[in-house]
Amino acid sequence: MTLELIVLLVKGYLIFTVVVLVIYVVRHYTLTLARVFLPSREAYQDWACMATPTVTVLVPMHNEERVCLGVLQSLERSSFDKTKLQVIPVNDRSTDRTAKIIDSFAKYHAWCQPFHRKEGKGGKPAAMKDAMPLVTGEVVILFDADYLPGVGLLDSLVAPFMDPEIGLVMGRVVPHNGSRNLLTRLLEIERSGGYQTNQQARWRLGLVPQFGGTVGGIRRSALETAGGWDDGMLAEDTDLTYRLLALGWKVAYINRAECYEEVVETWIDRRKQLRRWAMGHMQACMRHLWILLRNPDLGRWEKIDGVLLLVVYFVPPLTFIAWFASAFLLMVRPDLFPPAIGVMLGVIVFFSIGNFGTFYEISVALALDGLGKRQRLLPFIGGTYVASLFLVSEALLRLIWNRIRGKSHIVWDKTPRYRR
Amino acid sequence: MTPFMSVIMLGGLACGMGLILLMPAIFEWLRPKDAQPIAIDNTWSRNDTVFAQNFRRLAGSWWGISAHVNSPHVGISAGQIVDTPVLAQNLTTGPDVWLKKEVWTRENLILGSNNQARALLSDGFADLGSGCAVERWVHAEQSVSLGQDTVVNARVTSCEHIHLERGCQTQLLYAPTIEWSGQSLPIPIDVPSHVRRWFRRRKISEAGRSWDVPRFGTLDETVFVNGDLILDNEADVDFSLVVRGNLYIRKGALIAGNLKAHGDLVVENSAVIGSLTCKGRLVVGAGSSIQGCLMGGSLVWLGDGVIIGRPDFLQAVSGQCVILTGKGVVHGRIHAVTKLIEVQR
Amino acid sequence: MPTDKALPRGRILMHRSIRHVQVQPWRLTFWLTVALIGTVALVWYSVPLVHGYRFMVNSLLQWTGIPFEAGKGEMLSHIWIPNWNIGTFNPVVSPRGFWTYGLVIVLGQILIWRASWIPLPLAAWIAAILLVLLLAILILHWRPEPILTPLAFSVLWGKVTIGTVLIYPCLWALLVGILPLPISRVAFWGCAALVFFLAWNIVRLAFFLALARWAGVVWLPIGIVFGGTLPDCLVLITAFAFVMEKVGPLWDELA
Repeated sequence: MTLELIVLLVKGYLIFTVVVLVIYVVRHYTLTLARVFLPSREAYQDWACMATPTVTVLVPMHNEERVCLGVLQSLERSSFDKTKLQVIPVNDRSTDRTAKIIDSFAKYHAWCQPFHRKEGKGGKPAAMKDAMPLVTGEVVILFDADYLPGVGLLDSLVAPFMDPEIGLVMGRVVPHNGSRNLLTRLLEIERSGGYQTNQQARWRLGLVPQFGGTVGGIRRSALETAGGWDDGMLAEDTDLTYRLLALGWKVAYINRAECYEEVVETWIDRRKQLRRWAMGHMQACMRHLWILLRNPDLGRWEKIDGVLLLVVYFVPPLTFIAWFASAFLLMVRPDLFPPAIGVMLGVIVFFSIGNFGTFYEISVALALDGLGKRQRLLPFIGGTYVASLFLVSEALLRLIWNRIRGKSHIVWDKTPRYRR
Repeated sequence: MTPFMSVIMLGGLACGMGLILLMPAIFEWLRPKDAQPIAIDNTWSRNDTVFAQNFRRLAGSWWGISAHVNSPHVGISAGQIVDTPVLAQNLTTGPDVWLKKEVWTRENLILGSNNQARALLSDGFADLGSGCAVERWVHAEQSVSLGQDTVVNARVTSCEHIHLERGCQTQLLYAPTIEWSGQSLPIPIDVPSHVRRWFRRRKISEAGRSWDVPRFGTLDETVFVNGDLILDNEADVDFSLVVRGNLYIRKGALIAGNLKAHGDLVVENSAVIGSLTCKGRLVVGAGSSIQGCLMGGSLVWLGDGVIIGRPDFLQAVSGQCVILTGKGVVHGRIHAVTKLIEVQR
Repeated sequence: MPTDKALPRGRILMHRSIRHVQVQPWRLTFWLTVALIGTVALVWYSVPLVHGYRFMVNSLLQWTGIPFEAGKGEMLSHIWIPNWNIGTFNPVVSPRGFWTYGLVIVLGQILIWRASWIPLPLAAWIAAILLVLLLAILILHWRPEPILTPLAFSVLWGKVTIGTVLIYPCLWALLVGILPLPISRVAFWGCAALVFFLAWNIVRLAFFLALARWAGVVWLPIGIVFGGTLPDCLVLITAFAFVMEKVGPLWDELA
């Protein structure tokens, strides 16, 4: 009797997982086709160089001596009107030469006004929160310290803010150290899929592109209305996306606003990074899911897309458990797999458990980028996919464990830099 | 054969086949052929004269032209077909000439009526007669003048001034001053006299009069309105508005803020200091003055006497197609994203 | 001064950020029709195909000296699914076997995450396999009479394989046929993938049957979960990568 009940529960769980996974696969497929076939919606670029609000660029830095000068020099070359530009390198308790480097740069550039943070809570949102009183611009643009913004990038990112409904703007991130090793190459093609196909299609279809917290801008008034940065969040970008959505603002994605970044080069760092993202995203999900569903200003498809984006990090643990659930059923009641289920299993594995939607998205993104032979690396993505199942499941367990212990503060793991 | 050996053999075969499958990936990993990051054009910023600049560079290197060309004035008589590129100090053509290749004049360029050309570059002014057709672009360092019914497929740019006559068509115009002379027409949308409207948090009875609604933000204040909205005559608004419906601005309104409508946006004879964005049709009625960029989701219609931007404060107008009526001025750029810019016949 | 040197005509490419291609509905119609014809043909010729499949598995088992008995098989709709009975055993019936397996799995699990030289994805795969193995030994120790026998295993394998093969043409049409790609390329890699898919599938089935004979039934769940359709998916992805690798320049032109 107990066994029958367990079998029933496991079966129900598997069916639920299959439904969720099929929804995601359909989403990936639809977004990919939309990206390939629909003309772009890039008219904001006509406004570049013509829209001139005052802008503050925040660059949080924590022990960034290797890279901090690069981002400042890149901003120096920017075509944006320097009289309307304020750059605040936020030196967040650095113990290396970061402070010295940015101070010596600021000596010769009036628009660069460093903010040195000696103490306080760790993490990017906490540092940016403390720097906000210094901000004078109507628009706040964010870059991580390892980014290399191009000459026209600021103009591109600022232009959409002339649309009064836009609260957040996101640009495209392109790794410049992609050729370093297999991991960086895989991350590079994953980024292509994420931005070139997924984000662009969501923007084109009027859904919810995600603000990534870097190579992006925020309308300062919107940020203040939403209550500013929340230093308790690990994924402050996702949190902000949903807070602003709740207030009626929209997120714009500008595919042309490309910026080089550095991706992690070791699996250990990747593990930490993915864990931080997953925990932060889940944290944001718990906070915003209900608010999102009740938001009267969002359309039906925006809500659906918003929810799918918000719960996306719960899918790997769901899939991971589904593997064991199916193994359990196989050994206890293989007769539960009648012919129809057998056929369905094939479909599921192809489409869902094998996560083909993601492969499709990446492959099409590479084709749109005009790239060729690196398509051959696609099978290796299967490896990183299983790794992410483990890591995201681990992140969920940690989050639950923290909740049980009543520990609200989550340690921020800083991403190391590799620039030679 | 022992069971162990059988397993080894079959396992080896299965793994071997798996390895064959992974070979392309392994080769690309170990001997990369496509590993360079995609090139980002870091010098990119909006530059509408890029075609002319590239042509000048390319032509310079291809033809071996140094800074000065002292060639005589070239005249091409009516009906001639020229199938080589033309480089001249000045060029004048008669009617019905077909210039099959690019033309570059170091001073002025004057085309007669019904000429056909591929691309035209002038370091002085460029004057195209009526009924001309240009396959690609026209650029002049000084002014460009397009005669009646002239069609330029891609773009017309000038460092000083562009003038378009009735029936001209192109995709993109860029100059500090763009003027047109077309037929004057009344606005193509009827403005309703009454519409239901309510604000995000509180219903108000008379839009345009009681603006004591909750505001968002401090520096750049934005008010979200659900439903259609009419800003009554002489409304004075000093914040940004997002209207989730149609937005109609009556005559004599003064708006200092950015406006967005999810439906149509109609501005009758009013002044706006800020951008206008809508997902439907964007109609700017006669006599309006806009100091900001315009973006329409479908049609953008500019009426008689419209002034957009200033020579020292260039602005952009973009829509799927753009109709220019009466006589108006845009300082900056006009871009029809998928269709055409057309001066009303 | 007309000059006789014509400028080379350059192409103006659409920037990648806005690049897109025209939808061609006939492609999807064409490829779905081809796929449906292919599926019907596969069903039509299912008898010789299944017999060929069985013959290949038999040959592999005979070649490697695995004694087997052909089972009665089962019917999937009107398609017969063959199965094989292989002498096997449950290695975790005895406490000794159970603890040995258990210890090795737990140690393996610890070591795999401790060994920093093992790349994370590889460690993840091995760890996942070990976890399923752990589940298998727990269940088989708790209920020593195995339910997932080689007979049941091969029938399940057959069902999933037939299901996958039958949906494969339509899947290929939906994924690849809809994109503007050369017909010959789509057709060649589609067929090549199907042939390789079947060949590899046969070898893997024979391998897992042999493994069950040598190492016991605990390995059969791994065969289904990790050795079944996931590698099949890998075939599709590799073929897909080959089709797409020439697409970049092609779409440049189309855009």
